[in-house]
Amino acid sequence: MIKLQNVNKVYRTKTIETTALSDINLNIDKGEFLSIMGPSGCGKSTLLNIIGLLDEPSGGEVNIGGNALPNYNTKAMAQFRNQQLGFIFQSFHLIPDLTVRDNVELPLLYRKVGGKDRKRMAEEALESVGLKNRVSHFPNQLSGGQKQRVAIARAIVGNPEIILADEPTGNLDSVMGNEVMDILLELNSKNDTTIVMVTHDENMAKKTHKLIRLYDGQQVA
Amino acid sequence: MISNYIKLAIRVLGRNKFFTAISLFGISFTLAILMLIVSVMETEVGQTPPLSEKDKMVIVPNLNLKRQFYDTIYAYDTTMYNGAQVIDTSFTLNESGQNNSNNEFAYWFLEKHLSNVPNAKKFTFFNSNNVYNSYVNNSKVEFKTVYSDHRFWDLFDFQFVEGFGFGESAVENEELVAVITTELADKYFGKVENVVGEILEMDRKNFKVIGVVEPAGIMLLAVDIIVPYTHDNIDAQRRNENGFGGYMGMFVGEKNSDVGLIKNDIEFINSNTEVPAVAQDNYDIIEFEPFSFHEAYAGQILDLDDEEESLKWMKWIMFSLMGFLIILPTLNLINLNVSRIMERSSEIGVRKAFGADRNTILFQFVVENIVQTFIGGLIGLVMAMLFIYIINDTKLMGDVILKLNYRFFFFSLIICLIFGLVSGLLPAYRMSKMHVVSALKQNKL
Repeated sequence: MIKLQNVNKVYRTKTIETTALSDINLNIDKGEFLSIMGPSGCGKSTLLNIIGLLDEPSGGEVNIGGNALPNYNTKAMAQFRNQQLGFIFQSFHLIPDLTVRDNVELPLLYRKVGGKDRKRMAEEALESVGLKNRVSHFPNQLSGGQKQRVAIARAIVGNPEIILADEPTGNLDSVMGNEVMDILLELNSKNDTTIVMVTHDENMAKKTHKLIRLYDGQQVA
Repeated sequence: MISNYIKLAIRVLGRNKFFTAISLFGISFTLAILMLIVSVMETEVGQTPPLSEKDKMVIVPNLNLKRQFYDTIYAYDTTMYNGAQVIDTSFTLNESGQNNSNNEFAYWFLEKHLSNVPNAKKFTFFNSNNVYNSYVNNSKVEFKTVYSDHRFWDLFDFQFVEGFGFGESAVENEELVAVITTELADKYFGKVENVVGEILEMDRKNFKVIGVVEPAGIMLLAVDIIVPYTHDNIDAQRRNENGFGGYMGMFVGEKNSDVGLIKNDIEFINSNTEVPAVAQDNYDIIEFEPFSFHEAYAGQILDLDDEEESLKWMKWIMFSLMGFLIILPTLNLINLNVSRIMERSSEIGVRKAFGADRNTILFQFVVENIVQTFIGGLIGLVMAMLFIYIINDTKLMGDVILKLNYRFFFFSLIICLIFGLVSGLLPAYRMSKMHVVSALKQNKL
């Protein structure tokens, strides 16, 4: 499903060259739940961004669903993200001026799904995370756990094959964190959705199928 | 998708009310001023009644009679020719002075020379230089009077409230008939309806009102009353004189391109016209130059010697003024928009992560800006209408009555659209180029 071969990422300025990732090799099968751990600044989010086609590697090969990254132009990558990927961010990244439903509809908007279908699909996704009664609320009217559940609804509304979660429980207390983790595990087991999750939490990582550890941009386990 | 953007644009405006108020004030005030300029231009040079055919119009405002005096300067010199000294003589002609008289025309002159201009579909000769006073209920009423022929009503499409204009027989038979404006009807009779048939005294004559029209409301034709030219006593006395008087000629072609042909016709007629016999002692050159309406108008505003030059200058001044009025607030709005959109960089990151490409982001922000501009435009429109009402009510622009018509609204719409596009495009373009990871890192959601 996801294959990374000798992936490097180097950030260059005029004076400094910083290696964020070095020779990462990774193979994630369909339906697998992988967690990535490591200290802050070790390259976890960079790796997730590369898998999510949000960033390009400096070297190596990224292959997602049989398509090698260099074959994509910017527009095609946007389309691929829209069709195949769902993102969950640590700080939720809900758009404050949109209602819960409008936020969840966002990926469908770029698929040019009609208004009625968008509404139905968004409400179904919100129902699956237990927030159907909050469709008309705005993000600032929700708790942290509820915001993250809305973010999960947004990630799954288009039935993507892969979900990329960047510390999804990082801003939540343990109860809410567990709730969010349970939703992700259910998604993975019920829908066979491939999930790649960056986390600092060992307990959360233990619940996933596979764990890799990064240290100074290198895969250490 | 557009409805989503419009909904979002309105919500974004409500997010920071102070910022929105400042931004909308800038937009609406700018647009109100631009709309006001559009209204002035539309009233003065647009195709509005009673001059709906300005683009096809040629005006011959003045007769110019000249004589050029020359001094002959002889030069004597001695030179050697075949060994003998001889005197060599030469002379040069130098312009030493000029007799130059310039005025409007006597009616007879126009009728004699310019009543057969081949490419003119319609024409009229009229005199708008007369002001008479009358006293009604002990207060002075001023009449700006136009003397004209019956063809005046073909060329000027005045809006009649009641009655009609005078015909050829009324002019020839010197009937005491008049068409007055509603403004004069109100001043003189204290009413604007059922005025036809009433008698009005002017220049010690009693005229019967046969028509009431809406005021012309343009600078070029300040008029309260129009009567047959055969009542113009001064002009009557000028028959058989040198051609000067108080009349001008106005000609209209079938289409806009006829303006050039009519001008050529008139120039040709001019070249074959002799100085009137009674003036030949003093003058040997006769000139009557035709101008398009816009040249004549610019000449009147700028008062330069050359009307064509005046029109060029007027266009430059108007375009510069409009440009200046658009560019400065646009730059300001671009600046405001950049900081406003920067606050939403994280949103751009999210949208890109979920599949929005650069063009989609660009489109979204341009639509949002156009929505904002149109809200400002609506406020600006109300402000402009208020300004226009005040200007008309207080007669701030004299006899000019600023108009609000569908073209005014159309041009206002275009201005809003251009303003919205120009001020929104650059910030939107900058933000659409933002790298998705950098945008997400802003974390301002």
